[in-house]
Amino acid sequence: MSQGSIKKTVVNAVGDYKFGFHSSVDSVYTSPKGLSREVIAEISERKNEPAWMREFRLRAFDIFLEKPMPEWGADLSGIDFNNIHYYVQPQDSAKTRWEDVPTGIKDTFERLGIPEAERKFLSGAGAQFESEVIYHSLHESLSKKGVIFDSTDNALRLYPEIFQKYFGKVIPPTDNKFAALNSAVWSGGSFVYVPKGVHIELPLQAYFRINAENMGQFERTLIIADEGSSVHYIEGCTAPTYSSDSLHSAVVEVIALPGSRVQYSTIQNWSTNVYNLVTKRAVAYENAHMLWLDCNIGSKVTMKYPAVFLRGEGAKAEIHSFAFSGKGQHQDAGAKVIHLAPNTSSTIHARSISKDGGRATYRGLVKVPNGIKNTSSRVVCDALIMDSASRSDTYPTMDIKDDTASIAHEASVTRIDEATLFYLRSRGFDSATAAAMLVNGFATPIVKQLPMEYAVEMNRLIAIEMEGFSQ
Amino acid sequence: MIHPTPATTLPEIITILAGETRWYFVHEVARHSFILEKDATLYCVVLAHISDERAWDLSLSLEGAGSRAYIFGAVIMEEGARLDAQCSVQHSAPDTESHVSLRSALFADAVLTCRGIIGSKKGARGGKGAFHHKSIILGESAQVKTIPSLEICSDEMSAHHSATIDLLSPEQLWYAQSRGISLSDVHRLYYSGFLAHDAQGIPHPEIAENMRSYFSLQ
Repeated sequence: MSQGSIKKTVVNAVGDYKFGFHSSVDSVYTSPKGLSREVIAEISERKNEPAWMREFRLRAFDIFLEKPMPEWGADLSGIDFNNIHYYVQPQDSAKTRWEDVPTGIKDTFERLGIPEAERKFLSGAGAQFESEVIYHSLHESLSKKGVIFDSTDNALRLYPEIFQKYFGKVIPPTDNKFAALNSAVWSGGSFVYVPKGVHIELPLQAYFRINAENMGQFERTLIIADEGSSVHYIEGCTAPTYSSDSLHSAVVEVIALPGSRVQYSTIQNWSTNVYNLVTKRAVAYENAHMLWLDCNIGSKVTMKYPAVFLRGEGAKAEIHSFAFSGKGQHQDAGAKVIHLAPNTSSTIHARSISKDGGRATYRGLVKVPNGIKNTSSRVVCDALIMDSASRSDTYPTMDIKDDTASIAHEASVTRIDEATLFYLRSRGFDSATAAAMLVNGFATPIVKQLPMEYAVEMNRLIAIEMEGFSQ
Repeated sequence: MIHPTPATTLPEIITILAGETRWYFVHEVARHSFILEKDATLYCVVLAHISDERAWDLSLSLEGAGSRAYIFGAVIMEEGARLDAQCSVQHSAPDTESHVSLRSALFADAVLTCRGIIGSKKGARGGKGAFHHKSIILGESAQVKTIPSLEICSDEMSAHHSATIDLLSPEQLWYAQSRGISLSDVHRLYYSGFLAHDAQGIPHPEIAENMRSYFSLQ
């Protein structure tokens, strides 16, 4: 299929969402709509998994059924669990050569610019289409150093010992309803292992694409940074715009062993018919440094609170969160840091913008149990509301049970500065350009943590969102 | 000199009439709702010394255009004391302003839960809301849970909140003790200065002076 044949079968207006196209790709297998023990068994069977994983999935399914829907946060009443395909297999196996990827899928990713990105500035790249990783590659020099960057399905097969040691240990199925759902039907995602002392200079990237309608994508990512190593993992995601909703419910577990540094960056740009309910958690051991950089532009509803459990003395957590909430969107994002060892520190910096009736919510937690000495935490949340129809909420919780903790939190909700807007307009910028400049400036403290190429793309996405703005 | 009156002697619901400016200077905590009409102004200074288990529920409803509320709270929590505090401020009219500043000092095993909510309704244009909660911990196993929330439904108002939880650093303690000051006196000096800090922002000299002396005498 050529790029020209990729059709815009968009039911509702795609608007300026340039990734809202749908590709005609025949899948190898699509599970029937709805979730049952049979569907889960079929997924496990098709993946030829060991018995323990099949049992793990079925146990998680029972937990999913037992747990109620969350009664806090965004409105999830629109999710119809019976109207979702939980597993769509687009091709037989993951490819390591881009040329071997089926044409229709390849065209989709070419159009999204993924292979180009890999050639230019990545150590490795993975691409997931529907439920399966369809391509994975790693720079040869890193393979020789013992770095593993593969699909999570392959890792289960190829590295069973390390896989079983860490899988599901940071986020067990009992954690929450959607972690249980993911544990029951997970498919795809990335597995990264960085050996002791190895520093991966350029980022690893994974790109997630939902293509089918009423699709659920449940990738599972597991990153293990061994002692003294470092890695930066970047993920991006898009989907077509349909009139009915899709569900993305990932689980990401990161283990930062002593002295390691992990940065996990997300540029979430799902179409506005996707419920994005993700559980992300890292455990940082002695003197490890974990950084979550979480940018949420797309989706209908996002509920995502990247967390760090500081388990080792001297460990450090940084969470930088940016959310843009436009018409019909609710970005309920935030951060959690649990200090479980002395002399640990954390920084949370969240910025959000709501526009055209969008709602942005910061929800956070900093917790210091009794007896954990000399911890410090600083939390800053800033929200910008662009119009009178939009809304911003801030719900930070600081639960401090030790008398040696030093904690600071500040938050603000403001509107765009009219004097600055006027100044820019008096210099010949139209309203939308001037507002985009101000909004980009507002986002800069978060976006600047991205590599330059991604920061440029983020600024462009923000500018697109600001098109048509007038005041 | 004006002395604080017991909070329990005030009615639970208090309406500040249009154009009226009213001062409340109370000690101890209770449950109170203030409703402010057009151009009404409320100043409320609350000083509390908690040694048992208490609840403090303060609700401010800025219903009239141009209404303003300024709340200053300072709380000492003795060893083992419990306080569940909630302060909610609702901006419902244009050009309203609220400023809530709470300071708390906790001795060993004291537990403080503090929820601060600033909310706005559509049409609260030009509104400004601020909530600040600062705590110092002066004894082992003291616990602070602070949840300063904002629920802002419009770009027409601005809101800020902040919270800090800090301790008397070993350096400060060592310096004071090296000058021959006992630990209990260091604590008293530290918390009396900390809790009375907001007195400088109170535009009523007598109440401000009383606030300063109240804590230095505790």
